Amino acid sequence: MTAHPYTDLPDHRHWARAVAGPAALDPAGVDPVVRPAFHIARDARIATAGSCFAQHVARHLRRHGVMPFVTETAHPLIPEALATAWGYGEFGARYGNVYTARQLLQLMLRAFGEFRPAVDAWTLADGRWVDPFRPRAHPGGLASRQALAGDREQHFAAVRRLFAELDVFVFTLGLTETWADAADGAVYPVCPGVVAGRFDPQRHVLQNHGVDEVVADLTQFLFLLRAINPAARVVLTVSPVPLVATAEDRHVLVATTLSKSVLRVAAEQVAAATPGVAYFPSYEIITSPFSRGAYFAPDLRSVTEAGVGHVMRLFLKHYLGIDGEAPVPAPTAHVDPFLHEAQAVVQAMCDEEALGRG
Amino acid sequence: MKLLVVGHSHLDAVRASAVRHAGLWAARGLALRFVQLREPRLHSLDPTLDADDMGDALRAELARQAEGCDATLLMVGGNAHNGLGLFEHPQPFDFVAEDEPDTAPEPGRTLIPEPLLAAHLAAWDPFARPARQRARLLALVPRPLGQTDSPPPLADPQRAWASLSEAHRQSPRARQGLAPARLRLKVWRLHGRLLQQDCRRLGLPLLPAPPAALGADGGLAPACQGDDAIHANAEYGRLVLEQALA
Repeated sequence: MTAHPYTDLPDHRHWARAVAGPAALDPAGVDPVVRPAFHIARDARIATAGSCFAQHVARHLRRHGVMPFVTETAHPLIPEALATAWGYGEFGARYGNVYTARQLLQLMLRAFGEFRPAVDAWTLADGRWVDPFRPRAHPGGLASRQALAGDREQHFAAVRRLFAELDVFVFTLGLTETWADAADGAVYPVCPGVVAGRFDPQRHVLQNHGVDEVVADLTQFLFLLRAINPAARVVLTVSPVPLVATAEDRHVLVATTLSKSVLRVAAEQVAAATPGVAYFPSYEIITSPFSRGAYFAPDLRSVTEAGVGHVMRLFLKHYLGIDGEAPVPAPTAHVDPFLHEAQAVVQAMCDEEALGRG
Repeated sequence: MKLLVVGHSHLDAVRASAVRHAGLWAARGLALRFVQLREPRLHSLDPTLDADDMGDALRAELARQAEGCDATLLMVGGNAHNGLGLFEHPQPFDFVAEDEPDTAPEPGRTLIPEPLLAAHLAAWDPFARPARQRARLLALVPRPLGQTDSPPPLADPQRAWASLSEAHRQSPRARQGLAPARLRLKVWRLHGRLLQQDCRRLGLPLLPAPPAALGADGGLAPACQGDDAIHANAEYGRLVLEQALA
């Protein structure tokens, strides 16, 4: 028999040997990462952004003693639990979920003053104000546009610093469907009217980005990123979480498959064409049949901790060289000594007041 | 009228008025009794003290002092804003106050969203514990007239700094000096808003700082200044009583 292209293929190129076989022993043994595109040092400044699945990245990095790069932290006065509830530390800066490549590009453009949406504030029913591009950043809204504008400028300063100083940017692509303002193309993370704002059918239009659009948005983002940070490397991954709902007139399962397929192809094209950009197979690890659905919760959307663990174990192993290490204990929650000391002084004055009376 | 005054250190302004203006109150038929919640025998020396700093000694004292009283004035807590905003933080901060929504924050300071700062202050023990005490006291005292707001801070930075003892001026926390007057006043007003919310929840009127006690700068009028940066004097106590009895 003569040789042919399938002669002596390495195991990872055979389904039976690379997927079915290992999965029969233990699904956790399936490892679709053949060779990482680059190595990431443990002390590298790793910034994260993306859809809800992206929140797991920062959490698991911390669990293994790798501190994500965060430029927008809460003031030290604010206790950690409260800061977390307000979205501090969830991602590199407090931009909230970034679901689409268009939204990511928009964030970059806005942070550097290259794009100013015509509508930059929405009102709640009680007249308080929220940021249309970060509708969950201020629970209950803020009292004024002034307050919103001040917070936004502080946020953009943090975003500019993030992009300028990061070493690695891990971006999780989540959606292709998005709602936009027809007047200027501004895209929203959440459809107007769902969390805040008011849906205007004359103004708000559905966009469902195709491969070319996602590639163009990612390419432009990378161009802008490299202009301010030439050494920045990027890891692209696709969220395995299905759509909550589709605005297209088709079955949500069909819409999900299309969306994820577009994102997967776009990520592949950009990674193949751009040095220093890698694709990481989170989507494949979670959705492939080898796990027999064990990586999805009963709602068939949420990813189980076992699934997240599998993804992050392989990311840490292949990209950071962290393999088999036990998680590190969570550091003790930070307590600002200022409050304790200041209150001690105030209490002393109160007690002195009583002594003076005596 | 027999009025019971229950609270922490701010009640000493009213107690001072009871002494300084004894003739006035006697002529008005007002008799005053006081329960200071941090008095050692009711506080640090009481082994039955619970997590809210309330024990058997306090309950007994309240019952004793409340006997025959017609009404109660609550001056519980009221210094959490000073713990937060009297001294400049090593990372100076600012916030856009709900009652000045269109006033820009000071440049160069970390901006904290006001609702986040409010959530922190409301949950912080120097505010939260007096809030719990206030709720429990309502069941132990006769006819509450209301809870008083704290006296406003001294706005004048030099007067405020001079009013600190040397020991406090030398404390590590005073290293960056006092917070700017504008911030100290904003934090005091934020504290007042949270106090208002708590009182509303209890169905208790909040008695604001008497207008005559406020200077032109929005801070405590010099005539009402107490012996330190955070307390007021007998004149302030007189104004508080006049307001409560009106």
